[in-house]
Amino acid sequence: MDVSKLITKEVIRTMRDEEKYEKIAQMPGFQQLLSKKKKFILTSTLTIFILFMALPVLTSYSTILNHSIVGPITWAWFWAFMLFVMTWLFCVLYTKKANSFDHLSETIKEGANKELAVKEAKV
Amino acid sequence: MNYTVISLFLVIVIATLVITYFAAKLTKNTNQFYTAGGELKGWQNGVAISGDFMSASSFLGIVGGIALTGFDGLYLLLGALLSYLVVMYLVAEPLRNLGKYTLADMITARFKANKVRGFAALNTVTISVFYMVAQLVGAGVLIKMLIGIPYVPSLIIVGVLMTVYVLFGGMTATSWVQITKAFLLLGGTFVLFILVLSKFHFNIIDIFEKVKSATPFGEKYLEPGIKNKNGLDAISLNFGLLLGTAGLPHVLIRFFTVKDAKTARKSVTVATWVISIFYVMAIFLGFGAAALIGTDKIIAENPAGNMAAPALARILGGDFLFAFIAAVAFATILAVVAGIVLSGASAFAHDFYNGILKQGKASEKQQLKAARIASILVPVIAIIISLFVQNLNVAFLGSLALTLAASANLPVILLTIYWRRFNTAGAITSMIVGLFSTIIFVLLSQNGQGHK
Repeated sequence: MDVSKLITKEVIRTMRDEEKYEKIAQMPGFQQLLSKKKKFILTSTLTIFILFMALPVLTSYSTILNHSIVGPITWAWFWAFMLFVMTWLFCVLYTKKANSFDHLSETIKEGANKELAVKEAKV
Repeated sequence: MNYTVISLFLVIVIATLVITYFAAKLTKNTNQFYTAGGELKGWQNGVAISGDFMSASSFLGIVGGIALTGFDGLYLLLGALLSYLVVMYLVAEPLRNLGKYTLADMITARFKANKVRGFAALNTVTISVFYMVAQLVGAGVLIKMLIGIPYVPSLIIVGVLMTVYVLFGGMTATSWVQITKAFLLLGGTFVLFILVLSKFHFNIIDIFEKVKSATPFGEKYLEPGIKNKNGLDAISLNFGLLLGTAGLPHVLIRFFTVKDAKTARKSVTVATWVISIFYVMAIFLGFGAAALIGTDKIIAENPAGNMAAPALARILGGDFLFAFIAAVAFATILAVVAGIVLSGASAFAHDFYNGILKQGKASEKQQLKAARIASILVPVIAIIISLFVQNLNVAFLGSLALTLAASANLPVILLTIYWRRFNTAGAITSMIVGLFSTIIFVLLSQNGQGHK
């Protein structure tokens, strides 16, 4: 089970595997992992949205971006090309983050499995 | 008649039919029909997503848009590019985890109600039909321009081919047609890109310098505002493009073709890279067309600039390159419409027939039969509509589909995944309000009233 599945389940409590889910949800690292992931997604999405929408807003209501940087290339073009660079950076960032979240959830899951096994042994 | 063009078109048709022949052998049950067995690799699905998404109208339209309107042409692609980050960050992985065959599956995984499934499927079918009609009418016009086959026969050819791919080869054929097309489109664009750059001694600043004096707009060509006079035009266009992709059913169902969320993540990453590289090259093709062909000639061939890319190919590489780019545009049409047929057909067969009519209890055999009947039904409906609207300005149909995706689909997707207190009534309300508000606003708008 990877982290996005855990998060989805956090929301959708009617799904199968309920007992195991409850177990995992009570594990010490789990809630931190959830809030970490939510925070990452929220801040990234907002940053992307603002950096992107600022371009049409600025080009529609001001001429500030029409100044030249290098010869014929203006700030508006520079911004547009920077949006490509930003896309690539956020692409790499997401993969890295998601992999580290996967790793964390794997550790939590192993912990939960161990705990379940110990309990069963006691019974 | 141009024989090079016709023979290259035939090569494309034969290649896609060969793909379908082999795919048909792998399409024996509903899982294989809807999702290619969920066995595609991350990169394969990523390339297929980009092949699914980069339509002929966007390829030809973006090059033409940049050639004719300079900076404002960028607004045809930037939002679409960034929309893949929206898919990546917010939708791809949870969608893969919750859904099975359709978008409605994903929403009903949380709200088990036939009403929810019904409205989700209704939205999918509505968006698919609008999008398909826009693509088909564009395809008819395009094939007429490229090789001179009249509108109605062109439509029938495209319609029959897309039905054959989906009917026999299901998702496997659709995916591999899309992968093949993505490579052809990237290859063709790359050749043109290098040829354009070589005309300017591989000096980017030189290109910007040249286009500044090449068009009737002069220096204004590189400044925003040629096309979008009213500030809100640019803002709403960008906003719609940014949020539209993440609600397009034919793009979303592609995430069910991989085995888990991790592979879905890989797919969307690959798709983002492919699409961004394609867009960078397309910008320079637009510049090349502006500088080497000239605004007047581009408009003379097609007022919307759709012939800018093929005309550029003719100037740079002669008749063969023209024929090749025309064939690539043709392959692009086929790949995109096949994906849309599949998304519409799965909503009909899996959601309406099996989910609601049969309460999810249809046998495997009945389901496969329903899926096949639906994949004939959906194209027939779309082709009949396309025959009647050929003389209308259909450019707005495509944007209507995208707006519908952004307002009728994306809110319910995001709220289903991220809002704990979201409920059945909320899901249904969000879908109905999104669907009808979009249609009503479009009918009231200038486009809806028949103005250009």
